[in-house]
Amino acid sequence: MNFGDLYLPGDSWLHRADPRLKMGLALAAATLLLSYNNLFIMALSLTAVVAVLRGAGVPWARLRAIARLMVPVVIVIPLLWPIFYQSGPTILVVWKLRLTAWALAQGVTAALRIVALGYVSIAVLLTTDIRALLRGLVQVGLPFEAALTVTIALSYIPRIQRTYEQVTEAQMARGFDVNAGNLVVRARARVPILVASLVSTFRSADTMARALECRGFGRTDVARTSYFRIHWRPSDTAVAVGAGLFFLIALSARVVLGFGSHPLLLL
Amino acid sequence: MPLIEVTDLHHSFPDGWDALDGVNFAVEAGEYVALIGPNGSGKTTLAKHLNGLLKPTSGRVLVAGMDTAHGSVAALARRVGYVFQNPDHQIFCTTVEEEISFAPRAQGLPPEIVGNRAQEEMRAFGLVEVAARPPAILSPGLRRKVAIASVLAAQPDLLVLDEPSVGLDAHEQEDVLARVSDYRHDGRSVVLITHDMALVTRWATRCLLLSEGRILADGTPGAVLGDSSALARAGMRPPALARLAQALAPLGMPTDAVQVEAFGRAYLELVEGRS
Repeated sequence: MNFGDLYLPGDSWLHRADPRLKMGLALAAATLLLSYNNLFIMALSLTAVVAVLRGAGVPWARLRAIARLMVPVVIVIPLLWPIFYQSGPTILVVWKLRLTAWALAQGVTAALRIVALGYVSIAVLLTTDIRALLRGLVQVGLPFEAALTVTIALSYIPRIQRTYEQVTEAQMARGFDVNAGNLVVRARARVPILVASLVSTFRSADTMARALECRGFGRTDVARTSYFRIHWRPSDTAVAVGAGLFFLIALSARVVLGFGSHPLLLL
Repeated sequence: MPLIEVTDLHHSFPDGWDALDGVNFAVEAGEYVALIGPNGSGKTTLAKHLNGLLKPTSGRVLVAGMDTAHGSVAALARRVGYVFQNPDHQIFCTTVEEEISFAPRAQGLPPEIVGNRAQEEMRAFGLVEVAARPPAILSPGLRRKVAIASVLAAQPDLLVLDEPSVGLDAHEQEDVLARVSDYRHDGRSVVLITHDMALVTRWATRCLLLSEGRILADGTPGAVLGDSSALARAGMRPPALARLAQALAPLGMPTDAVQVEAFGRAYLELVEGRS
């Protein structure tokens, strides 16, 4: 899997939207995803999130790559759910474990929720230029130093991944067979890769810290100015109002009416 | 049988980029081949096919008769040693000696031979004094030497060097590449990826010019670096000596005299002939 850079340049409405709006939408979507427990609503929500990302020009290959990262969790959760959730009609009994329809639905719902949350969290990064993200974080009140730290950390994710891939190639070229043997042997074969990746990453982090210092980062005796600016447009207000109303209705339906709290039944 | 045989090699990356577009060449034992070309021309992609890190989209790469499409990288590593651009990607042991011993030890060689090879490479690269030090904290030049020495200690039939001179001063470059050249004299071959034309004229016996995944020129360094139309098609300029030789061509100067010594000899002959 290759993430390349997290940001995918484009000209969709999501790309053009103000980063503050995108962060707000992501927060609202995450809140709704966490509050609903129904399998059908969760499947619909995931479909909607995927549709929005596809509409923003995110290729299927990238969506698959992100989903692949979540595969272990997505597999383990539905398997563990029956241990803790025993309500509902029984489907299967294995030794002392009873698998119920509701537990199965709840497990699948949780797995779908994780994938949807993953997509929602990364949607901002996939569609927001790092400079716009930095300005957005500063505009919502984060100190510049903290915002820069966050954006640098985010930009390091694909960089660390690239380093790891290059180190893996370098070690394979030295005769390491990273995929041979049992789990323990394979884990041990990864040690040199991790050591070299860490050394390389620390070294580039150190270089970047020095470069930032050389460029005057952290100076407090002068007021900071910004060349790059973000602009809140009327279309952002329209989306914010529409999404805000939907959020209030959906949350009220869930909290007041109990809509979508059951794993399989809608009411 | 050639050590390396590349036939109609194509490679496309998942994003659709055709990095190699029908590459054909062979490397005989004892050759010192320089791969040159602008960034993105396919040099590193081509080199990564030689040890199986990349598999052909179509076409074939044979290393000592073994098809790299079917051989594992680990198996090919015994035949092909690859020194990466960034030495930090290779180095992980706690001492220089351990680092250099690693590959021969991994090959299952007896401790005595492993020790001898490590000593030999440490002496050749001037690393004896830092043998017990952690390689990760050495200077960039020393780390590069450790990376090259650790690959040479495995004694592969083909050594691939990707930009080996970065971080080395002129003295160190000379030492390192002289050692690499000696290694070739044992009947092994070297593939050198570089942007430094002085290294090509100084060390290589053959030069391949790549552009947009195709070989535009294949010949002696003098012939390739003197071929200004092929270089222009690749978006490159001939090195200074090649341009000087071309400027003097109307007076009878051979255009392939791109190495300092060859240029000097040709110039003297030209001057003596005219006087």
